[in-house]
Amino acid sequence: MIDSPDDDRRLVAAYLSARTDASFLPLYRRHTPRLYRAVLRMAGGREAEADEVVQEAWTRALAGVQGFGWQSTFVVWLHGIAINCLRERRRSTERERQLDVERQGSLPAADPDEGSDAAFGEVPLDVLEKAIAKLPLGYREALVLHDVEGHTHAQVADMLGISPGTSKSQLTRARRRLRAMLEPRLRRSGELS
Amino acid sequence: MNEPDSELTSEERRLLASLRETAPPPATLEARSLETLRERRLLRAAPRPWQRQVSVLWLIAASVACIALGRTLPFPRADGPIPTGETFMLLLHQSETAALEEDASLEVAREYGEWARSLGSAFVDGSELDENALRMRPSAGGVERIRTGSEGEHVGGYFVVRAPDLAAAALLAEGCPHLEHGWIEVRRLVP
Repeated sequence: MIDSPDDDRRLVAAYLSARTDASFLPLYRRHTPRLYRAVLRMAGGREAEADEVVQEAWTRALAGVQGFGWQSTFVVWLHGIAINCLRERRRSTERERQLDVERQGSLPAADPDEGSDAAFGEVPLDVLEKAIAKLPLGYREALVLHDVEGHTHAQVADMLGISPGTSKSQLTRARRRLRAMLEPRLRRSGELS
Repeated sequence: MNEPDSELTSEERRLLASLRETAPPPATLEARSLETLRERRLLRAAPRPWQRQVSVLWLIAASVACIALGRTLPFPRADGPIPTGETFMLLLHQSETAALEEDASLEVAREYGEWARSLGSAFVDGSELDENALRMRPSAGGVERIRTGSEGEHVGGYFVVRAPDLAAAALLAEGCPHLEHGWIEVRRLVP
């Protein structure tokens, strides 16, 4: 439903013909919940940053939508814009690097290449959220877009500007890292012996 | 939508997918986004009451000017939810162009404009058509051009509206003041 290109084409045409709140809101409401969720998680749970990125993404999208060629779906294009906004903010402030350094203190001691095969199917959602927020950026992006939001590897690759193969390998590492981070908790709760 | 992947257990897959039900956008994000887009001139500011009045006055003045100059007349759009359904063209046929005094022309323009505004978001587009036209048709020597004008029956303008079906579009057309001056043909645009 949300990826229906025909509906998006109709909604974009409606916006372009009127450029009023009423002509834009159906498009906005169709995509913003999913976009905000993804951006929030890719931003490591920082709500203020997600808020600003979503607004900036819509601003850039509306400024450029007349030239959008529909080679990809609207949702892929919009997410790609938001991801670029997020990366630009990160580059200019180096906030992510500093936070990653800070996070090392609270992360379970784990080698970047180390992973686990222990499944985490029963952890509480808030624990899972925190663990996702602590994943390295590339892993987090792939996991959020593919496993949480349900985009295909081809779509994730388009959004992130990487190859589908890279998307798959990032996702594999993300899952293993996530399991490694959650394993101590599962051991404490007795789900792992 | 996910591609088959044996690395996640079904419980893990379910747990990760359940995150889609959480983290809705803040309640105020929509209003702030609209404000930002208006500031960047990507959305038109909502007209204030006095601006609507000016808009109507402009329409009337523009109607008279357009009729005098033989130009087409764009009608203003109204805000509101986009009606679902299909798009229809209302072709405004008339037998001849009435020679109206300025006051009468102004009144006709006002009536058409008010009707267009009354459609709200069902209104898509509309224009008067210039009387100077060419009818093109194949002939032995190539393409024949026949100059046509306001004599005889012709299409003097059109409206484009959104409606659920043909019957609903016809209901809209029944209120159009053009029926006092001619007749209306309602045609669905084939997507």
